[in-house]
Amino acid sequence: MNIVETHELAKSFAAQPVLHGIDLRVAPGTLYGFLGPNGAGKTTTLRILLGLLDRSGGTARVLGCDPWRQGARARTNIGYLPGDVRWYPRLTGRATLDFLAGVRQRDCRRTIHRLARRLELDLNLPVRTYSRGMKQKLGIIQALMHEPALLILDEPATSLDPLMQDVLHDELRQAVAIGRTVLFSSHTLSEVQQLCDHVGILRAGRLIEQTTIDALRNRALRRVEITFAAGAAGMASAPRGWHGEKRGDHWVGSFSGPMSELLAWLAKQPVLDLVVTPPDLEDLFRAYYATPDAGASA
Amino acid sequence: MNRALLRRLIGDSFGLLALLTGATLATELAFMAVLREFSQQDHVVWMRVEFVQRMLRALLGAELTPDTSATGLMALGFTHPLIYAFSWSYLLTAATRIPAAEIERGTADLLLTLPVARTTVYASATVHLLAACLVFAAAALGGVWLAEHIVPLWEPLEFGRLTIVAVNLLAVHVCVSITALMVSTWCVRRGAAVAIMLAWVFASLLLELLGQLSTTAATFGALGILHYHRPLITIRSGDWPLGHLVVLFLAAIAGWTIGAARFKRRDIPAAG
Repeated sequence: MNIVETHELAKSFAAQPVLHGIDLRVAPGTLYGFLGPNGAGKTTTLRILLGLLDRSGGTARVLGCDPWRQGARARTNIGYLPGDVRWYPRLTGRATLDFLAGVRQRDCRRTIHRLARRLELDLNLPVRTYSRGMKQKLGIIQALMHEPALLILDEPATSLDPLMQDVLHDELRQAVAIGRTVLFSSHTLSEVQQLCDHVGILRAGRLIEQTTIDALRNRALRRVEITFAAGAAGMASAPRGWHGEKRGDHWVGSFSGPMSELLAWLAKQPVLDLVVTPPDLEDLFRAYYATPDAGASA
Repeated sequence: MNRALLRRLIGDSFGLLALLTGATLATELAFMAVLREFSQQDHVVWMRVEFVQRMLRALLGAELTPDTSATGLMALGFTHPLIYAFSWSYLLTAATRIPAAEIERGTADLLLTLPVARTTVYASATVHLLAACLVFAAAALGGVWLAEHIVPLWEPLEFGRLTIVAVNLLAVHVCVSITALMVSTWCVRRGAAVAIMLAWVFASLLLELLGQLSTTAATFGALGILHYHRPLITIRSGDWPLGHLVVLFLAAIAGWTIGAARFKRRDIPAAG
């Protein structure tokens, strides 16, 4: 059974559709990156999964519960970090976490202590004195403190410095290693590439791709630069799968298809130098974002 | 009801509650001290002024006559605009916190994604409000009781009758605060919810005042909340104003039910 499963999930605001039939599937123990440009509908989808918004159509199940009708039960095992997390300014970090743990009726002190040390956050200061990054750290602690089965994080790395991003990524990997599930939204492609094993790409309220990172990577193009011996390039005809420019003896482009075919072709050419850059998902994502039918052709 | 949430709701506004409760006690004390300074004859002169008489009738629900007892005069202590101002400023602030203020400042995203049903959140906010209503009604009565011991009037006060008035005041507070809670469930900004409530209570006060000048306005008096708080009539008769209490509590129950249904079904937008 999937931890998160939606079928034809739709949402409209004032008769203006923002989600068009999303079929999202997040399997247990996965680190799922939910990608899309601003305004694609990522946050709206997450808010429906948390029971903050009611859907206009379709179905949604989170941890086996309907998030709208059985939201409280589902949320017992969910940790959520909002995209723009806001706090009660007069409370200290510790009082805030104690309050949230109290509402959950859970003793989270050990995990809070561990996470505060890892994230280097002083919990004794009032939240109003916190910087944006510190507030984000507090948000991460409150999402993780009760060791939930499902973590829903809306752009969690926002405002974190690179070191703290590493700590967050490490925590998320550890959580997944012990069987928890992470669903996080992002528009930072490198973060998803680095962290996730599954990815869903949302554009203009439609889920245009949902696959593993490996499958996506196999579909991505390799950047290739070939330098031929002087004058030899003119005689060569490009192999199948080659897309690029020929600048005299220097070819710059991309190659789609098995590398063995490219290597076999190169072996017959007077090649002076060859640079093959690993598949770059960024190009693929750009293609997805750019045109409505890019996903189908990619 | 969620205890941790209730503790937070009370804790966040405890200072303001203590301050306004103290102000209510002090106002009752000061009011009785002022009454004590005037002789009964002074009151009679005061009451001959037509405008003052009408204003007092609007507030008390009946005409002050020269033979009004000390207990009857203390009816003003339960309808004084300052008493309303202290209690309602707290109650309106507290009642519009969930969900309007929480949505406005973005903390609803934290609060409403905890494993607590919205009805539980709503019930916790209601318990907080009811407790605050009780505190303010008790403070008004307690202030009079304190004043009776510190600055007693020319005759002992009848606390049995004043208790009935305090219960009526409690019902008014409950009705105002639950209505504000209901209004809050339709708003995404606390300011809007408070503005709607202030418009209603000021209109209510205005209706009572205009009702003394025009029979047309008097026919609409039942729409205002002050129509259901007539302390001087209660003190004179010594009877429970059951009709008024039923109207106030039924209005509160209806408002609570509508608010609960709305809060349960509404979308919670992200803070702007």
